[in-house]
Parts: sequence; structure tokens; C-alpha cells
Amino acid sequence: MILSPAERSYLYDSLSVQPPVRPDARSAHQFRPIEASCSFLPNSNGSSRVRLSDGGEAIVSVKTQVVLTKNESSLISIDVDINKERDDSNFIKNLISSLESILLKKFPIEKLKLTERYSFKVYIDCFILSHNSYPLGLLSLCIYLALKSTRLPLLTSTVNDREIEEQPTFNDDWEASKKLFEPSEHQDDPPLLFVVGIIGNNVFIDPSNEEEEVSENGLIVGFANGEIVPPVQSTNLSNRDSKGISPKHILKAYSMVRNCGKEVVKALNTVVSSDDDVFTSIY
Amino acid sequence: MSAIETAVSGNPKKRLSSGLTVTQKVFVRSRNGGATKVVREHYLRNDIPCLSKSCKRCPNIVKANAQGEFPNFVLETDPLFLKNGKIGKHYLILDTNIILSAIDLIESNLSFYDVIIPQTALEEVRNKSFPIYLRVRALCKNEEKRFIVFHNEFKEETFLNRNKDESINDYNDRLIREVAKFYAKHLSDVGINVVLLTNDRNNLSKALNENIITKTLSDYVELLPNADELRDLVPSEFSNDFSRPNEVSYPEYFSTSRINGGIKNGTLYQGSITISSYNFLEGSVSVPSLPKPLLVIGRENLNRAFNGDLCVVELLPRDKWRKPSSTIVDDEVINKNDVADNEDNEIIISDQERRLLTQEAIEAQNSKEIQPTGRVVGIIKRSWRLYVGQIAPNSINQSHTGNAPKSCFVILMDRTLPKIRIRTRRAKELQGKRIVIGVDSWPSTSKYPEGHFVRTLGEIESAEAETEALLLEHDVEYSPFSKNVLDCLPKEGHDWKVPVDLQADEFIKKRKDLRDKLVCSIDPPGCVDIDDALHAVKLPNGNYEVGVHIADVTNFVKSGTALDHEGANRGTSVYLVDKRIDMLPMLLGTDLCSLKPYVDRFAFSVLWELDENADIVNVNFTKSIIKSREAFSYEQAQLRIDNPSQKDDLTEGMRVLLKLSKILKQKRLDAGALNLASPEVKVYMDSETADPGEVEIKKLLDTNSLVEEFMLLANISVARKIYDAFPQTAMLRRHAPPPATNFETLNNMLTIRKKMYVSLESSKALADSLDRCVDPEDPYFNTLLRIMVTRCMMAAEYFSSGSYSYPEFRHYGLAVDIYTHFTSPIRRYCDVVAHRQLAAAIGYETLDPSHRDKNKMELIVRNINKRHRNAQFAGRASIEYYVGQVMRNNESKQEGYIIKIFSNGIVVLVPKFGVESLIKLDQLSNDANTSEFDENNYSLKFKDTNGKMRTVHIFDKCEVEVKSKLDEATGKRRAQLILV
Amino acid sequence: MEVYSPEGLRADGRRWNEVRNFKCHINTHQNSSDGSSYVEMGNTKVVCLVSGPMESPSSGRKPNSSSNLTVSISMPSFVSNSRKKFKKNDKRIQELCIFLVKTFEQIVIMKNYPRTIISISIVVLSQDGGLLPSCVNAITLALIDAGISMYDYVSSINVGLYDTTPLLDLNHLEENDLSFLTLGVVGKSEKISLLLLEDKLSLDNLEKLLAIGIVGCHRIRDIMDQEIRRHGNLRLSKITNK
Repeated sequence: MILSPAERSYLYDSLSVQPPVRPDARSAHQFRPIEASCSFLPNSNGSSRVRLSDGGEAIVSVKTQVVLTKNESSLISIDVDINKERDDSNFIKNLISSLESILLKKFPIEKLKLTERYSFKVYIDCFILSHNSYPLGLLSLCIYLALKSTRLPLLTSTVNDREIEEQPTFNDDWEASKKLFEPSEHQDDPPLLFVVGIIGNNVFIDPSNEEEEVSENGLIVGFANGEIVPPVQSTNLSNRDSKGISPKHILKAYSMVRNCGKEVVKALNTVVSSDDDVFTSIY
Repeated sequence: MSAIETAVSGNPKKRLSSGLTVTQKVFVRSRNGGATKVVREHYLRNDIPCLSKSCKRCPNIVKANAQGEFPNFVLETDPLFLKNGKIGKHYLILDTNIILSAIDLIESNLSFYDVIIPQTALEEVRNKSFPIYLRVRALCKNEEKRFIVFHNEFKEETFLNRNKDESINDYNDRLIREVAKFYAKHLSDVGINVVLLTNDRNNLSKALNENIITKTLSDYVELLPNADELRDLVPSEFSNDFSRPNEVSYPEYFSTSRINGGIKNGTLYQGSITISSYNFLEGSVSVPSLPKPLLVIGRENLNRAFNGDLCVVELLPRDKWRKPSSTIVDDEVINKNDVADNEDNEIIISDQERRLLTQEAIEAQNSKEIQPTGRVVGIIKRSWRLYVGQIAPNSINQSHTGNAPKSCFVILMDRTLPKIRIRTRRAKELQGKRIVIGVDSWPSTSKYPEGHFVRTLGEIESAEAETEALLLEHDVEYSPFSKNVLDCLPKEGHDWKVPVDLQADEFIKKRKDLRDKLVCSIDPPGCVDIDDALHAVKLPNGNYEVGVHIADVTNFVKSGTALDHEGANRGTSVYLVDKRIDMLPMLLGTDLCSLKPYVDRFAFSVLWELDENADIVNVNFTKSIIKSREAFSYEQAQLRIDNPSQKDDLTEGMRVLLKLSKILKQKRLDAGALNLASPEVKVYMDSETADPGEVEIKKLLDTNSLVEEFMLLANISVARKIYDAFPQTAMLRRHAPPPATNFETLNNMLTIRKKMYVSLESSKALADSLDRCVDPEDPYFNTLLRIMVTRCMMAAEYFSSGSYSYPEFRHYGLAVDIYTHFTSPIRRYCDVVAHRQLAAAIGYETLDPSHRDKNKMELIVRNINKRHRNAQFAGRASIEYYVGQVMRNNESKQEGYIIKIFSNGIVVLVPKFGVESLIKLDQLSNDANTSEFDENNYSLKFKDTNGKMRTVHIFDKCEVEVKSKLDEATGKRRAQLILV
Repeated sequence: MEVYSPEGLRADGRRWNEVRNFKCHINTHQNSSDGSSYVEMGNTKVVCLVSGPMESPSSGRKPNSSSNLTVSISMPSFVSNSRKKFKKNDKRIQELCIFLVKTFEQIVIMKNYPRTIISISIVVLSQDGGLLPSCVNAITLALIDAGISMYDYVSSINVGLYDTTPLLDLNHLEENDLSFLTLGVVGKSEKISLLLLEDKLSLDNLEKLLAIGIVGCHRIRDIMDQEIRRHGNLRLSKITNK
């Protein structure tokens, strides 16, 4: 997006006053409205779609495969694809590495263990249909929903196969499958990433495209189970020169994410529990 | 009030139009250890009729198919009425297990009319046994039996969602019960009941609770008026009062997941088990990772495997390995108390150790010492079919009278199989008869498998019973051709004639009129299905025109007709000593297609221009019309050629053919074609009494080989042409070179005993070395060797060209690069396909898609290979039976040859009768302990019945007394040989 | 499963001439495209986004020389069961794109859009047979949504042959088992604007396949027409309510 110097200056000024005035009249800790749905991909174990009001939209599928644990370096694989964009661009690589840095560390891997030898491997495939602002936050929300809606087939063969190998067999009824994240056990929710924009002394969550353009800096903050978790990264949201981050910014961002995060998780969980089916129109 | 409102959980539905609703079936597919979520759309509809003629409503809801046909309402308005059990007029509904286990009973004409097969049951049957599925489908086509398939899972009223935590079996049972409930309600106003047959106790009690009239199969049969006839046919597992002592306990089979895991990581092996024909307690399983088949020894290790079952085996620990037995073990030898095979408790070996064990096993197999052994831990697919046997006389409890069913044993004709326990009230009546039985189960607590009586074939040793028995044993379809099939024949019947107008249609216009050629046929005497005819004439340029004319069967057998399906299924005609089982109806085989003399016939001709050297200058294929001038027997033709006073053109033509055929044969032999031998004999029947008269070794005349050479040439030419036209699906025949390991023992014996060997580098080398193996003192030795070499060969097989690469097309025995069968379409289905492909290749007609599709060709090929093999076995078994009958009247002393040596017996072949038989040590000697078996020199030393020491070697010629003896246990007449 | 039972039912319970559950929506992505649609044929689900008509970046250099209608298809890796990744330059997909461009160049009134480009982007969310027909139907709808002038609807469906019975609208399992053709029909006419046959099929059967195919296409057209009218009325009512 190309802003005229006048627009730019107006935006910058209004965002640096105390409290900031955001172009869409949100408060600093307020998310844009999102539209979300779950479980609509017939052939995936879990799926989700999230659309932002600016037209940014992502679809995430979670598929699983039964693997010999010892053959796999990681039980989680993340792939991002952007509509009409090359799959090997640096932009995509950066997105994947940010997502991996939190998911690989914070994912409750023990949930994937099947038997002494076998595990589920989870493939998280993200597809960005369109985006205006930096899509990391969008993807993170979408992955959260997809993982929460993921079901794993129920193992019926023995769990103890250390001495004598058995090929895992599963209950053929999909209704008997178990949720990867049972709604009851909240301490183990999948992690989320939040993007925070910084202008002057102000920090604000979920920056829109225009806000990104005038941001002096950005922060990516991890959040899981009500707490701030690593990674915390600084990032350039615009092409402007970065102005450095002060510890004050970071502390502000922390407390903002901690407060917002809980609200967001609550909102997302209502989406999951409404549990759509394949006949619900996602559009 | 539809079922949907009562359905509990499950998947959402969406109404599409007034009669159509869509839902989704979601399930987990475990395959190869994976677990995939699968979603399929599932449409529910309200236009599925009940198909009862009594129903007034359903005729209004039916919809037509693409051909505009409406479904037939087949269930009678007036079905069977049963006063007993207060059933009244009723239709039957079968559950899956009833269909699977009692299909023979269901098919019988004695009972089971007006039957509803729920789609749920049909689908389960199809997954468990495709052949039984096909039989059910055939029943639904059979107008007399009045079977229907009711698509309950597509009918909105009868579809149910799966309940939470419900197993798939319970779900299917519930679906089937829903069918019963639907019909009961649907037909209540016309006074027809439905009876659900199930043997599942759980399902039975649930059904009774839901007020469904439900019976077990045996209870239902008891209610029928002809219960006495049917009672014995009820498969055993249903007989609820079957009490059986726990004689033994076989090890339980492993769970599927353990088997799959083991196969995947290489610690368990899968393969088809072959039970040794000399020792029914020894089997072997070919395992890809081991150089030789893995031995499975002993009842407990065989663990209920039948010969031919697809089994899973595991290696036994090293201390249980042993040498393959060089002893002969017969059921008779093993008495009631089993051989000691007392396994210790379950041995637990980890996968780690197992892999090491495999390594050791490979080493052990390469060295010659003790061989690794294994045990069966699971059976993937049973080879069970119907078997022929007879009741073991001593197994009938004679004291017991009355009408209660009794258990007895049936000894099967196939000696590699165990005896089968059946339960019948008619044991005494069935004694001494050939009977057909089905095998139902083999529980781990039962020493012998359990089965049920199917029907009787007749007295043992009567020609009819024995012939039918051997046809059954070799899975030969011998029932008369059905009406559907016969309807495909020309309406004119025997009056059919080649049309006079040769411009009548586009096809006949494409035929070449070859009626001016002097064509004749040469066949065995009395041949009525004349496949082929020949002609030859010298051309002005000094070359020869030679024509081979083959019966144009495909003019009558069109693709996709019932006639074609029947032929494709039979695959080949089967020739028994006294009977021929035709592949195609008589009208075609012996009249309309048969190239009879003096009449016009359609033919498919191969026309060559050959030079002096019998090299092909030119080849042409055409559909034609011919008129054979004469039908010769081999002998007649030979006499005519040899008679110098015969100077007519026909005889001259035959002389040309003979001359060229000799050149062709020489060329073939030079290329390395093999001249092998089989101990085949021909049985001559006394024409008046139809008793077998004498046995003769097959003789060959020059004229035999005349016909043979040109047939080979035609086959090769056609093979090239159709491969050219259809590189992926041409119907061809190949013969793989034999693996060297097949010859190991034979060469070893040859070197030690005769200082000879056969080379295997090429077929040429083999042919030459065979020619060199001559024992000046024994002229028969070379033939004997050829017989033994034949047994080391691979079997030739049909294939479609896409399945192999060109170098593998080679026919080893004939030493040609490509080959097919084209010349006998009356009696072989391969030739029918080759005809169609050739006709398409020359632009005569378009080729049916089924002969252009790789997968469909694969199915055809697999079937005709199987049928061909079975036909050969059946033919041999027929000869064996008649030779037995001949020997019965001709006990004599004959020359024999020792072809196998064991530590406790020898196998002797008698060329005169083409029989071979085992002579056990206790028949050779009164004092078996004195015998010495020298394994390295293939010799056995023993004190003979006169008290003299005697040593016999392999290949030794010996005098034997030939007797025919009826084996009391199997009821099979076998040659008994006594060493003189 | 019987592909087509003697009782005349297919493995999923449909009869020979029944189309699967067909669902479509237009104007689904008004914030990220000029025209958009979403089409479901059974479990095959596609989204179509149209951008344009818009200024061609290269219009100065080569006016009218090359096509100014472009189609791209994205197949995210989750579409196939094996998670096979489809590259953007996958041959099969390229082929489909060319095919679609050829079809829609004939149906869009291109002379109204000189020196502009119309860029069509298809995203496949789920594939259960009938991919090409779904794309055609989705493009038709999205172009209408974008207000691009066209001669008529193009509706599409595939037809397979089981023995001698034509089967309409094959799902993935049926596509694997049978030879089939895909056809697209202009409006309510019998004009075939698209025909693709990649398997062997004997000529005698072609006619009956086309006949039932055309009927199927008309049925699809009617459902699409309903959706367009529904959406039109919705917009109209919004305007009049103001």
C-alpha cells in the first residue's frame, strides 16, 4: 500500500498521541473483527478458516500420519502457501520459521504418542487466500482453531510394542476419535502468536495494513495457557527505518498480550465448540 | 414417523429434493498401519421398492434405469407357508454369516425361495469372499429362486446412523434388523411375514426383543416340510448341540495388528503353504527373504493350515530346527495318538532377536545341514472349497441307532488334507459313497476341521462318481450350458449355412473366398471338433503358398454375450478318457465352427509364401470361406502320402506340407527347441462295453508333426501381428527358463550315478546335453531323463504383453521369442481372444474394450492359466483312474525305474502304464531295522523279503509286480508295486 | 462397493442421472476481489476470485497480442489425501488453466475489454472428482459477480460410462474406475463450448454420454441462475431499503 506523505504523517501523529487514535477507531488492545469456522475440510483431521475485515483470509488444514517415532526428526510439520506467490520466497520462509519457533517448542508432543514405537505426525498446512497486513497473527489464530478442532483416530491395538512389533490398528468409527485438545483440559492449549505494532511510546495489537506502514517497530509475542512464552521477536512491519525498542515497550506489549490473549482464546474456543459440519456453508 | 427422527447421534443430513437426502459417511481407514479419515457422500432416497408382487404402493415409486427398464417385482404373492412356528406365508431375510457359511444350502433347489438380501449383508459378503458374492448375484438373476437385493442403506426409511461406541458388526446387525422391521410393517396388510435368519446369538436375542420373527438356520430348516433332506446340509458351526471334547489345543493365531507389524518389520513371513505329498505333517512356505522355502513340521506348527492357504509364519528358535524328513508319512502311519510335538509354553522372542534368527536361517539354508523351521501364526486366506471324499468306515459309531445326528470323519481324496468331521444322520447310508463336503471352521480346540455334507456323487469306483469327483476336485465347470448361453447360438441351429450372397453385409464382403483351395484337415481318429485345416501349393515363382485355416469361432462368439462369458469362464475344454467337457456348446464345436469336410465353413486363415528353405517371404491374415476336401486321421494321411500311386493335387499338397514341416522342425531344433517327454499313456476304451481295454504309450507319426509345425508357425506369425497392433494387451504365451536350483538334485544324482549332467546355459545347451545323456545299456534311460527334466521345468503361461518386457516373452521350450495360441479357438479361450485381436489388427472389426484394457486382460489371463492347469490335472487324474481299472484286470510283471529314494521307501515309475508309486520299506523288507540309507549316493540297502541283502540306487531298472489296490481309507484305486 | 449395482444404484446411492449435492454462492470475497464465488459439487469445493477488468501492466508494450484473460489454479497440499504438493507449474494444472482460458475467451465479450486484464484465480479446497467442472462453474459465477459481460452461462459436468450405462457427475472413486468425459454447455442451448476426453471410449457411446451430459449442465445452470437471482434480489432490496 502506498501512502501519500500527508496520509503517512496524519496516521503517524494520530497513532503516537496518548492514547493512540487508530484509523478504525479501535482501542490499542482491540482486535479487528474476525470471521471464523472450523472442521469444514472433509479429508482433514482438523481445519479452520479465518477472515479479517480487510479481506485477509487463511485456511489451515491439520492432517495426521502414523509414523515410527524414531524415524522422525520432528512430529510437527508446518507448511505455508500463499495464493499466487512463489513457495520458496523469503517472506514464506520467515513466516514458517516464526510459526515453528513457537509450535515446535510449545506443542504438547506427548499427546501424539501412540505406542512405544509409533506416533502421530501432525502436518499443518496453511494456505493464505489473500492478505493485506502481515499475516502471521492471522495464521496463528487459524492454526489454533485448526488444532483445536483436530481429531485423532482411536487406537485399538496394544500400546506396548517394545518387544514385539504390532502394526497399529484403529477404531473404524470416526465418531470414536478423540480430540487432540480436549476442551476440558485448558492448561494444554496450543500456543498463539501476537503481532504488536510500536509507534512512539504506544504499542497496539493486531496492526492493520496502514498502521504497519507507519510503525516504527513491531514485536511478535508468544502466548500459551495464559502466559507469555518465548519466542519474543522484534520485526520490521514496514520498510521504514527501525527506531529501536525500549524495555518499556516490551513490558507494555507483554501486559497487553497477556490481557488480550485470554480474551482471544475465549473467543476462539466458542468458535471451536460450535463445531460446524461439512454441510455448513463456510461462505 | 421416519427412522431418521429416532436416529440418535451421527452425521448431519441435507434434503436436496423431495426424494433425495444427502449425508456423509465418515470413517477411519487403517491400512498398512496408517489411519486415514475418509469421507464419502451418501445419498438417501425414497424410491427403493420392496419388490414384492403383493405390494400395491411400491410400483408407483420405481424409477427406470438408463435403458428405460423398470425393476422386476420378483417376490411371490404366495410364498412358502409354514404352519409350524406360526410363521405362515413368509419371505426370508439372510444375515451375512448365513450367506457366507451356508451358500451351498441356499443355492439348492430344495428350499430357500423368495429371499431378501439386505445390501448391508451383500456388501459384507463381498468384502469377505468375492466368489460367494458372485454366487449371490447369480441367484438374484435366477428367475426361479426369486432372490432380491434390498438397498436398505440407501433407503431413507431403513438407513440408520451408527451409534456411539457401536462396533461395525453390531451396527450392521442393527441395519439388517431394520430391514426385517420395515418389511414386516410394509407387508402386514397383505398377510406376508418376514423371517430373519441369523445364527448370531446376540443378534437373535435383540431381534426377538424387537418382535422380529427370527430363527437360526437349523431351527428354520427343522420347520420345513423337507427337513429330513436338508438337515445334513446345515453347516456345522450352527448345529447348536454339537458337543465336542477338547481333544487338543492348537496355538491361537496372532492378532491382525501383530501380524501386520511383524510382516512389515520382517520378523514374520507371508506365503502360500504347500503340504508335502509324501508327508502330510510337513509343509513349506516360500519366503522371499530366505533362499529356500521355510519348513513347517508337525501338526502343532502347521497349526490348522490347509494345503494352499495363505499363511503367516514365524521362525522357530534355533534348537527346533531340523533336517527335512527323508521319511514318508501317511495318515495311516500316524496313529491316533499324535507324534510328540509337545511345544513348550509360548516362546517369547523379541523382534531384535528374531532378525538375528533370520540371518542364521539364511546361512543355515545355504549350508546343507539342519534347516530352519517355522510355525504358522496366522492364516490370511483359506483355500477352502468343496472337497470330495468318503466317510471313514471306522469313524461311524455302529452301536448307536436312532435318528440323532452323529459325528463321523470324511477322508478327502486330496491326501495332503486332514480328515474332516461332519455330523449326519445318514452316515451308514453314505458309507462307501463318494460325497462332497464343505469345510466350515477349524476351532483351536478341535483336532480336525469341521464341515458339513453337501451331496453324494455315487458309489466309490463307479465311473460316474469318479469322473464327477475328479471334475469337482479340479474345479472344472461341467454343468450343462444354461439357457442364456444357448440363446446366443444361431437360430438356424444345425441348418446354419454360409450365406450364398457374399455381398450381404460389410463383414462378409471382407472375407476372402478360398473355396477353390485344396484344403484338408488332419486330426486324431474320431475327432469331431476340427479346429484347423491346411493347404499348400507350389507357386509359379518356385515358392510355396501355404495356408493354415482355423475355425472362425469369433464369428459366433461375440464379445460380451452370455456365450462369451461362459467360454471365458471355462477357459478350455477338458479332455477325460471317456468324456469331453466342452468350452463352447456342441453345436458350435462339432458342427458350425468345426471345419468339416465337403461343406463351406467360415475360417480365419493365415497365408504364407514360403521359399524352399521354409523361410517366410510373405504373410497374410484374412477371414475367409473354405471348403475342406477331406478330413484325415494322422494314419490315413500318412498312408496317402506314403502311397506313390496317389498323384492327385491334394496329396501333392500334403507332400509339400510334409517336406516343409520337416525343414521347419529341423530349424526349430537347431534353435534349441526342447524335445521333452512325459510318461503319458492313452487308454483305449472297449467300444462295446465301454470298459477300458488297454493302455498304450502315445505314438507319433510324421503327420502329427506336420500339423504341429504349421500350427506353431501360425501361432508365431499371429503373435507378432497382434503384439504389433496391441503392444500393451496382446494375448501371448510365454515359457520362462527353469531356475538352476530346480536341477540341483537331478544333476547331483546324474553325476554320482551316471557320470552325466545336463547343462542349463540355454535351451540349446540343455537340448544338446540331453541328447548326450544316453546309457548304451538302457535305451529307455534317455526318455526317463527327459521325463524327469520335464518335471524341473517351469509351466508355460498365458499373459498380456503389457505385463512383461519383450525379452521375457520368450518361449523357452519352443525356442522362439514370441508365441501365442491361435489355432484351437473351439477348445481354448486364449485363441478366441487372439482371434479377436487379429481381426481388429487387420481391420476386420473393432476390438471389444475388454481386450484392450490391461486390467481386464489380466483377469482373463489369470483365469485361463488356472483353468488350463486344472484341465491338465483333471485329464491326468482321469487317465490314472482308468489305468487303475486296466491294471485291476491285468496284474503282471513290468519293468520299472527308481526315480526317488527315501530312507524308508522308494518311488518307482512303470513306463508301460505311466504310473508311479511308492514302495515302502516295510513292503521291501521284513526287517526294516537292517536298512541303510546312503543319502549321498542315493542308495538304499535292505534285507529283502527272501532274507538277502539288496542295494537299490536311483535310476536303477527293476522288475516290479503291478497290482491295483483299493485304498480303504480314501477309496482311491492306486497302483501297488511289489519289487521282485 | 459395487460401482453400479444391477438394481441401478451407484456406490454413493445415486441413480445414473443424478447430480451430486450442488451448492454455490457468489460475492463471497468482496473485500479481496472484484468478483468471487464458491462452488461445491459433492465434496469437491473450490473458491474463485476474479480481479479485473484492470489496467494491464504490460499494455504499452504488446497491445492485444497475447490473451488478456489469465487463469491460475492453486491446489494446497491438503487437497490430496497423500498431501502431494502441486507446484504452480505442475503440468496437469497448467493444462487445465490453458483449457479454461480457451473456454472463457470465447464466452467473455473480450472486445469490450481491450488493453485490460481479467485475472482469475481458483483455489481448490477439497477434491472428490469433477475438478474441471467445478472450476468452470465457479469461474462463470465469479465473472458474473465481477460484472464482466459474457454471452451466456457456461455450466459444466462430467459423465462416465459403466458398461453401457452413462453415469452423471462422477465422484473421485468413479473417476478412477470409469472412462469419462467433461463437457461444458453454453446457457440453455445444446452448444458445447468445452469437451475433454482423456480415456478410451467407443464412439457408439459418445452420443448418449453427451445427451445426458447436456441435461446435467442445464440442471447446474439452473441452480447457478437461481443463486445469481437470489443475490441480485438481495442487493436490490438493500438499495431500495435505503
